[in-house]
Amino acid sequence: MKPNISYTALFCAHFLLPLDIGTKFDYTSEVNPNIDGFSPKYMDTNLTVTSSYISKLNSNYISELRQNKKKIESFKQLPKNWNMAGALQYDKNFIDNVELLLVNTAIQPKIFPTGRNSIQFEYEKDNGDYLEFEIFNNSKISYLSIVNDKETSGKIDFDSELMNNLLIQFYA
Amino acid sequence: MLNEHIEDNEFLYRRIILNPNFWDFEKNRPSSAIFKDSNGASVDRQDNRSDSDVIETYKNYEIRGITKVLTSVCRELETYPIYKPLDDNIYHCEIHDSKEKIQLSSSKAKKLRDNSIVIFTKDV
Repeated sequence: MKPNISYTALFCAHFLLPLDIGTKFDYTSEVNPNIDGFSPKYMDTNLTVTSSYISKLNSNYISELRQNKKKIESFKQLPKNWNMAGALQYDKNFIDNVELLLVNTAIQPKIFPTGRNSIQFEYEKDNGDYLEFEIFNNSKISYLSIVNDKETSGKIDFDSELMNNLLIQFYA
Repeated sequence: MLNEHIEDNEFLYRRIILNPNFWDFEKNRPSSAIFKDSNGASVDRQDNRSDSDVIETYKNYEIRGITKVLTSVCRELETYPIYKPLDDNIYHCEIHDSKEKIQLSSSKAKKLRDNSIVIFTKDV
């Protein structure tokens, strides 16, 4: 199942977060997983930036996205039992779907494989607050959020907009 | 075969494999993902070995490093370490989420990572 493509997420990732309070933009986007060919357009909206911290995070978005895409692609080559503890090979369609989630993520994560056929996206602030998405090949994403030592966890559908909602809340 | 019961003061050792990467270079530590196997987390118990003995055991593996966590800490975190020897590894154990559930929750995997100690890293 392919993830829902979020125009909002792309917009946030590239234009909303680094900008000044009250700036008005025209924006419409075309979703294009080929980041080298990505060229967003504009639509009317009022924007507010939540923090300069977020804009700092996004300054290297494109280069981080390229690195992450390469990393995820490499997971397709992992053989059976790659972790010497019985790990299965990743399904190639699953990897492609995770890549689609990745290009629609508002902020690029750190990415790690797991030995239980899932892929983990991690975010951590300097103060130790932590957000993690574990993406499974069954159309579900588990999340763990730790903010001011308070834990919240749950499951969401394989949907980049739902992921980005949690992400934006985390960095707000 | 060793004693079925893993003593509280035994460490449980986890290899951090080299490829794919599990190392968080920014924080200089492994990701909690290392504790997420399909059968809980595969680890090796200490028995009466030293850290050096364990490092020597792993020298022929392609690893980034080795981390260890105390069994008593695993139990305090409400995980369930269990002795599961293999034909070729008498030290093999697994850390389960609980007595009833094998795969670790993300919360427990992170807590295990936060409470583990990296005893060896390889320059690669």
